[in-house]
Amino acid sequence: MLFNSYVFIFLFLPVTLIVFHSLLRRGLHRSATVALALASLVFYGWWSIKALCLLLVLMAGNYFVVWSLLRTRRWHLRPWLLTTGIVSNLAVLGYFKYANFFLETWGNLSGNHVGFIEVALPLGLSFFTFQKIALLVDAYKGRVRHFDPLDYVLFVGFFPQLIAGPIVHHSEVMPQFGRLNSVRMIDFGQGLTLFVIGLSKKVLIADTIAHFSNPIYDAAALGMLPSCTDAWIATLAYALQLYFDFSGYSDMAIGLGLLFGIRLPVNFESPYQASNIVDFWRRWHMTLSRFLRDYLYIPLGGNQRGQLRRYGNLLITMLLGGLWHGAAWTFVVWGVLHGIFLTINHLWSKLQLRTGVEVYSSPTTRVVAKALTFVAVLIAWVFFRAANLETAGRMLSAMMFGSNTAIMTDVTAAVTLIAVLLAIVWFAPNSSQLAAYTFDKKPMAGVQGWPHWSRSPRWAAVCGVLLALCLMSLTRVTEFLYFQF
Amino acid sequence: MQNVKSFYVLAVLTIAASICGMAMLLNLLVDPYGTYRIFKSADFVVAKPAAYRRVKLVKAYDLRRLKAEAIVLGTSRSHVALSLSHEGWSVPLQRRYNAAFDGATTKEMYAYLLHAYSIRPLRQVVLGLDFWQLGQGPAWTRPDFDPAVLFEPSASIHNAGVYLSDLSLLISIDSTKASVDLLMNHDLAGPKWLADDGQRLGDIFFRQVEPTYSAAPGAYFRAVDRQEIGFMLDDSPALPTSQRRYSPNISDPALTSFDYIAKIIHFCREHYIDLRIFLTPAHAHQLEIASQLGGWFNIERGKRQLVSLLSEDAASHPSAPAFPLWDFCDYSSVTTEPVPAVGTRAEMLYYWDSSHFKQSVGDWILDRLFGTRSKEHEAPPDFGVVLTPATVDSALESIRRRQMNYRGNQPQEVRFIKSAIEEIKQQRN
Repeated sequence: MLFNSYVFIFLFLPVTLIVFHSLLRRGLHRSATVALALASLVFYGWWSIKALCLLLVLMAGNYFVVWSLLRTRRWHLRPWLLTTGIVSNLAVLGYFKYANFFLETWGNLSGNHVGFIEVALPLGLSFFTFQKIALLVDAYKGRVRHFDPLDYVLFVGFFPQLIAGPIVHHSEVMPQFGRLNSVRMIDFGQGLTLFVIGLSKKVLIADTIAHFSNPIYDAAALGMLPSCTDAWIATLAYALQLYFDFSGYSDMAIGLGLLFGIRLPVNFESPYQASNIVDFWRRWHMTLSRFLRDYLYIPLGGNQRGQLRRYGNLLITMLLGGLWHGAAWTFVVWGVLHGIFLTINHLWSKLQLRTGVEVYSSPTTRVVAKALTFVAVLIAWVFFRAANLETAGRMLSAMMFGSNTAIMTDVTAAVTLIAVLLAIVWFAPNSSQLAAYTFDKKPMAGVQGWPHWSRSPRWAAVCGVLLALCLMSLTRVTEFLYFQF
Repeated sequence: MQNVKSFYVLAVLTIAASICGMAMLLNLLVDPYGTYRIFKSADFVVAKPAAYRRVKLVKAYDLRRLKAEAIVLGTSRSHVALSLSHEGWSVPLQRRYNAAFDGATTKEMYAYLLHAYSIRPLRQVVLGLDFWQLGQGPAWTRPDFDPAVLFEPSASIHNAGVYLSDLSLLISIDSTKASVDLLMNHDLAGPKWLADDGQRLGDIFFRQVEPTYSAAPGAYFRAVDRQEIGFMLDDSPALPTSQRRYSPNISDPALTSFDYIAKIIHFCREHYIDLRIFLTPAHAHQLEIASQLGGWFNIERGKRQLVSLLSEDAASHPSAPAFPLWDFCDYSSVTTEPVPAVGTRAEMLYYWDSSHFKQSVGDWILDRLFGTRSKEHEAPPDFGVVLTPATVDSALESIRRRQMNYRGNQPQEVRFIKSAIEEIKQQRN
């Protein structure tokens, strides 16, 4: 079930909200939590019963391992339990997501093609595998204090964030599930607003801008060298599509969480306003960056074992981060590119420290830094979007020395829309700022010169019109880009 | 929820509901796709441009409204040429519908068969297959195919979702734009080429809607040849393989285009539907294009497999009549009709272009399928042969012989096709 489908908006969500809040109002807090857990399983099972069975098996297996880690007094068994838990999760992920990739790579290297396994990747497997690995590691390290079976089921299966994040940490949500007793109307209103903003970003913006990206990349995949203008339009359009699509999804997830009284962490903070790559990764898919840092980069040694090792760790982390996004060499190259960018960024910062030159002190250099960062991110997106490495090479080559073959028929419309959307991502506040949302409920100061959400008639009118436009634009249900990861 | 002011939430929902409600009312009254037909006035159900861009959708709704008992399944060839008023049909005229549409894939045809059957049990189905549909490539659907608007037998959850799709169509921004366009420019409505029984009326479509056809039928014919070469060179769904392979969206990747023909046959057998199958008589140019591109073996293999499938079906149901398979995909006196010169306005007798034959040919096909004979307009004796295990070898041999004759008699046509293929290949490189 997709958030941008009628069955979700008109059937699943209202029924779940009515049942959940009716139980809460009657003081049946645990029953409300059970209802929410069951609804989450229905949500996931709607796509595939087989995938739901897999989710339940993984849930049960991980529960057993975590429970054993917390209860066992045989300390020598704990490393084995942890290893078994992590390896089992990775094996399942490897089978469903990477088996065909490795078979194809092996076939290409050895010349012995053994065919493919017919397997469908269960939605969100990559996301909830990471969440469970984090829980296993923290249980091993004694950092898990609250572990209730029902809260655990919701931690793994809470439908707003089940299939595309944000990747939540158990300490962020399990205590909230345990404390569920009422939902403030102001949170409900804020949640509705964030859901509508996210839905608008997905349905009204991302799906529209996609029309300027897909034909060019598809043509390049078929062997055509696009013109320079088309290649830039397509790549800029894709960068915008991806941002509005994925951040829109995260907004919807956070908004839905609030409708049930659960606060989810913010996942995007205007990433295209980043002034360097390190800054970019603090703003883009923040919950993934946090996971990679805490459960991969730091265990590898982080920056504690010398500069050379630090850069090596960065490269490994980003390479695996790239592979996490998709089973293809394009994602590997994308990850390695970001690893290289991060290394250059750290070397540059070190150089600044040594020389005492503060590059970001003037507005001009800040603009140049932001522009450079954006171009670097853009170049990496080419690999992220392209069907294969040849296509990526063709697109990059077209961006520099394009052909005379123009594919785009409406360049003016494309350029106008891209210019407007770039202005939004560069200068406008993000959804969390507009909706005044923070994970920790700290009051947020509004962005000067921009409207700040309140339960006013004006905001209600804007949200009502946006919601109506979204509902009217759902005719053709499209999938979220991030579902394939 | 705490008992605090809920004005904001109610206001958002009320405003959204009001706007959607107004859009629904507008679309219901204007009915831009002709799907609701609240007003019976002929003026209001005249040709609507938006409907002609969404023929698959219109046909799904037409089937619901008409509750057909006899349908045609097929591609644009059957869509254009098969008339529902032919005397051979065994159900009343108002219960017949041409559910064929442009570029239909076998998976789509199967879905429309299930849809029609779910609305009312079918008694008769005529299935027109193009030779490319006999292939072993993976089954697929085109982007404008929407399974959410189609019913399926005994699938109550899915069928409940169809009503949600009705809602989506009713409040969609596309429908609203189409309604507004229609209201603002009522004269946008062009010639009505889609008949109420689902047939695309060739006389109106080609002569009034396709200006290039009327200007120069010979040039139009050759342009379609070139288009067909492009389609055959692509010969695959649009997505690059690397994207499709890892995509979770492809269900049953093992099922081929041919498998869905088998599903149609099995469904008809299980539900006692009188199924009659034919291979469409594309012009010899199309056969030459397929042959020059190395596809002849696949065509013959596909025919043999279909014969074998039908023969197995007949053997396992000895008490029921066998489903007949008529092969018009041949070098007959119809399909080898000479093509007019490029500079003239002369029309062909049997063809609109190298793919689409005229209704007169469609009537001959139905004559063959239903065993009827038109006294004043009888089909040529070399038009069509029934393929059975006993006849398939000799039939294919005979087609090959006639193919050689055609090449010998029409060398300029074969040269044109060869050079067009080379030209298009070079353009693509």
